[in-house]
Order: sequence, then structure tokens, then C-alpha cells
Amino acid sequence: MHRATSTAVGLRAEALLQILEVTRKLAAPFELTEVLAEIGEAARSVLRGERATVWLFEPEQGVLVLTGQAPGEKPIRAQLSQGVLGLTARSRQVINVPDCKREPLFDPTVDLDVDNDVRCMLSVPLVERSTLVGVLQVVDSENGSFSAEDERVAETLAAQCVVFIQRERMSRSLAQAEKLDREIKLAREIQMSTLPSEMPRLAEYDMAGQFCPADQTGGDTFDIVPLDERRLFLLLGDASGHGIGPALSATQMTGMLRVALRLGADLDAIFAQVNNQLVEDLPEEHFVTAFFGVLDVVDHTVQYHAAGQGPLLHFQAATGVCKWLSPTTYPLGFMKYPQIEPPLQIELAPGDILGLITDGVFETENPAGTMFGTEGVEKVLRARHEGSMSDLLARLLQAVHVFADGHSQADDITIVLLARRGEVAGRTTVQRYFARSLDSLDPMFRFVGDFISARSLDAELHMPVCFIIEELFTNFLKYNAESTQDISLSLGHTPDQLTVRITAFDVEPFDVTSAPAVDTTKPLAERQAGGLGLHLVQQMADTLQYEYSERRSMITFTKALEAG
Amino acid sequence: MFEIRLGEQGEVVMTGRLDAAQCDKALQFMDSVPAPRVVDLAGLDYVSSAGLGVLLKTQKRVMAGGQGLRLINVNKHIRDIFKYAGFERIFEIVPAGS
Repeated sequence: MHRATSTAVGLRAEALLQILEVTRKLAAPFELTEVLAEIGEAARSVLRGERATVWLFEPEQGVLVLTGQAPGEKPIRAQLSQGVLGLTARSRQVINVPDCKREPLFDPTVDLDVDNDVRCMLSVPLVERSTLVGVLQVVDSENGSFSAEDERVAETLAAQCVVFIQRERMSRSLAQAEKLDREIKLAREIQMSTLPSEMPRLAEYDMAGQFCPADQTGGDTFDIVPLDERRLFLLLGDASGHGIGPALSATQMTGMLRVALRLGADLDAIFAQVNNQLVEDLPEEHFVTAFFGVLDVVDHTVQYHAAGQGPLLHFQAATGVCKWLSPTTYPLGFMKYPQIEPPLQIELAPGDILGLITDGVFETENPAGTMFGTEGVEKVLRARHEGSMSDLLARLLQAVHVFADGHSQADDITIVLLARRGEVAGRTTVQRYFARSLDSLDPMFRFVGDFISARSLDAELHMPVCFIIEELFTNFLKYNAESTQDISLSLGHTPDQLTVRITAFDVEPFDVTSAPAVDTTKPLAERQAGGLGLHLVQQMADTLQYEYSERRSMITFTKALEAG
Repeated sequence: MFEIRLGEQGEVVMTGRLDAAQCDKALQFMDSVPAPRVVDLAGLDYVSSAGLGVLLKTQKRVMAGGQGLRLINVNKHIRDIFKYAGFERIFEIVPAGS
């Protein structure tokens, strides 16, 4: 056996012309099989061999593959350990075998000596930038052996062929990707179309839900279906996998749920049957995590199954604690549940919030690799749980976006929030946000009025407290007009004192306690309306404090409460 | 809710809540009355400093003509605010029930 080391110089003119001809032919668009056939034919002709074959290397399986020469013929696979073929691939060098019968490495099964008549062989690696693409083999049964010049011709031909094989492979994968893109887009549109277009309106409850698709893959879905006067079905799902599959699984699950509800199936039956169907339909490695729940607006309970879906958020308003609940069982689509355990139950007290959130939220990463986590959700919730659920949802999405800091969204994000309204038992502090507009004055005054009457506090306080709040609020509008953030108002009390705190965000400092005193004894001609408001605030509040940090102005004032 | 109108004897009648959102409306009305003399505040539940500004401005105009405003039927809360603002030196104030 002789390993060739020469370079492609000084080739005979006839061979060069033939190689150029092959190059010209291959420049036209071809199917890969045609390209391979053309290369084989060119090699046979240029090198005057009897037969030529082109093996392609499959890097994922680490094997060489010879596609069927005739239609319907099965491809032949060879390991890199087999024959002269394997050695060529491993060494990436041209191997010239003058007498195959005497070559111990020669293996008729992969070196293709079916008729046992091969005399000599030239085995040429197809390599692009040290990456193995395949092996070209030319055999002959006559004519002695291949010359050193044949080796150089073969190498030159091989270099040309590699370019065309790679081009063909690349354009094929591009076309496939484009087709897949179109299909995924269509599946995503269908997936989106199954989401509820609006939230049901229920006395005592406030709801919001949103689905934010990632660019490529993801299989989130949610649905909210009124069952009767007092019950509502809640679904949140997240199908695993990549490509078109998850979107289809999510859509399928919503469809099954809708049909089951029309047929009047109950929670347990729906849960079991949807799982059974997904076990049959989903590929083995795929699954769906899902929350199936029924809200009863009379009992204020949610009965639920959570198949691998969690953590579920139960914000408990009375204590301000976020309780994170684990899934009740493994995900849908793995296998049939041997038995369905009774659903678990969440009791919603006034002010409580149930949050169904897919892992796209918790697993959002910032550029430093830290995850948003349940902590990120809690932070927003603590500040915003008093507002509407649509506001809270928008704030959560914004917080996730800010946290990601330009990191692209890797997974679908879905959030469904459900709050029970009403006065929180035993709570002494309430807080709400108000838009920066004079139109907020009315709702602010009502907020104060409700607080005072709900706690049977001295009704005489309403007027001076509203007065102080209005002055501070309009002051923020006037002197911090550059901020667009809502203004927070919180009210709290102990047996002997009412405390009010008003906070403006993203503002320059403006210390109301150091506002110049107004001389109210001046004659009218010298009196100005400006400055009077803050002067009166200082007169009317029992205590008045100003704090400024992190671009937020916080003003706290108190009024004494009559004992009893 | 805030309303402002002329009463049967030509007095200005204010009812409801005179806050910063309503003071433009109040001032426009006051400016449209050539020589207001009496402002009946029996139905006024609330006034903020913006509302005080409306009264101050109107008083300046009226006094320039040698007259002055009488604020009548003023409830206790509003009287307190008038007191803090030094209004008893500027206006003739008649408390409610007197």
C-alpha cells in the first residue's frame, strides 16, 4: 500500500480539461444524488477507471453512507474502522492500492469488490477545511495500477467535488428550514386563535390573562370557560418540545377541553381523558404540563389538578404571604394515571390572588445568567397586588422584560391572574396607584372615604385628609411633571393615629416640609394663591415627613384619632 | 361632583367638591358674574387650595370696585380651612346656622 503525498501540480492537459468540464456541469443546480453520480462518472472517466463510488460522511452517526445507485436500492453504511475506505476517512490522505489482493486492509464488503475482480484502487478523502465530507473511490480490474499523477488528478477533482457537495447540502438544509419556519408560523397562528378573546366578567372577581409567544418554539396555552352561573373552568398548559409539535399539542389540548366541557364532563373525568388521549398521541419524549381548575364564585374555592405545572401562586392578602404550590401529579402524556386522586382545593379570601404562570417567566435569564424566579414575581406582586389584575399582569411582563435586559425570549410566557375582590380581613393598611391626572382626585377621595367608613374611623377626618392628599398630589403633578409613573397612596391606622403615605416614582427631589411659610396676615393686595396649599398642609397635618431615595419622593403625614 | 350657579337673590351658589379639577370651571363662572356680592357655601362639602385661589382672585376683582364678597353658610370644616388660610381677615365669613 502506498500513501500519496503529492500536490496537484503539473497535471496532464487532458485531465485538467475534464475536471473543468465536471466543474461546469456541477455549477448547475442538482439534487444531491445527481451530484454524486456526476462526480462518480467524472472520476471514472478522468482516471480511466472501471467504476467509481462516492461515500458521504454522516458526522452525527460517525459512519460513511453510499446512497443507492438505483432507485429503491438501500443505502450501504460503513464504519470508519472498515477497509481501505475507513483508513482513507481516518487519515484524510489519498491511498493508492496497486494490488488489492495483497492488501490486508482491503475489505470487499465496503471497498466494493462484489465480483472479486478488483485489481487496483485509488481511495481519495473528500475534505473541506479539515472536515471530512466523504470518500471517493475509483477501482480498476485492468491497466496495472494508478500512477502518482492519477493521485494528483484525483485530489484536484476531489477538491472541486467537495465544494458542490457542501453547496448542495447547505441549500437543502436552508430550504428545509424555510419550510419549517412557514409551518411553525402557521401552527402558532392556530395556537393563538384558540386563546380567549376576553375575560369573563364576574362579580367579586377580577381576571387577566396573556400569552406572549417566543420567536420560534413553545407550546403555551390558556383558556377560561364559564360553566354555569357560579363556576368557571381554568386551563393553563405548556407543551414540551421544539418546532411545530408543541404548538399543535397545546392547540389539541384546548380543543379536547372545549369538547369535554360541552359534553358536560367533570373536572376529574376531563383530566383523566385528556391525559389518556395525549398518551396515545404524543411522541414518547414529549409531554404537556397543565393546570386544570374550577373556580366556584359562591364558595370562593378553586378545585384543581396540576400535572407537572408549578409552582402555582396563591397570594394571601390577609398576611401578605405568597404561597407557592407544587404540582399534584406528573405531566400529561407520559402514561395513564393509575387512579385520579381527588382534586386539591385553594380557598380564596378577599384580596387573594391565584397566579398561573408558565416556566417561561421564572426561567427568564438576564445577561449574567440569573433567573427571574419566584422572587421576581413576588417583588412585583408585593408592590402591585392592590391594583387591577390587568395592571399587575402588565407590570409583571414589564419586569420580566426589564430583567432580561435584551436577552432574547427563549420560551413562551403565559400568565393568568385571578383576584377575589373585597375588604381584606384584619388589614389596617391599604394601598393603591393613581394615574397622574386631576381625574384621579375623585377616585382618591372615594378610596379615603371607603377606608374611613369601613373601619368606623372619625368621619370628620375625611375632609382634612383629602385636602392634604390633594395638595401633595397636585404638587407632584406640577413639580414632577416629567415622570409618567403612577402615584401610590397608602392608608393605615393604629387605634390612635391615621397614617397616610403618598409616593411619586422617578422624580427629582422636592421637599414639601421646607416650603416657605406663607404670611396669611398680609392684606389681600399682597396675597398670592401660590404656596398656600403646602402652607395649609403643614398647618393641618399633625406630623409631616419627607424622604427621598432611588428617585422616589415619599411623603408621610399623620392625623390623631380620637380614642374609642 | 361640583356645581356653581346663581341663586334666586343673585347670590353665587356652590355645591359639591371644589378641587383642583374643578377650579377652572368655578373661576370662569365667577368671572362671568359682573359684581358678585354673596357666595352661598351651604352645599359645599370640600375646598382645596385651588378653590381658595378662585375666591381670592374674585375678591381682588370685587374689592377693586370698592365692594367685598360675603361667604355665607360656611360649614365647620371649610371654616377651619379658611382660618388656616387667613381668610377671616380678607372675607366676611358667616358660619352655617348663624
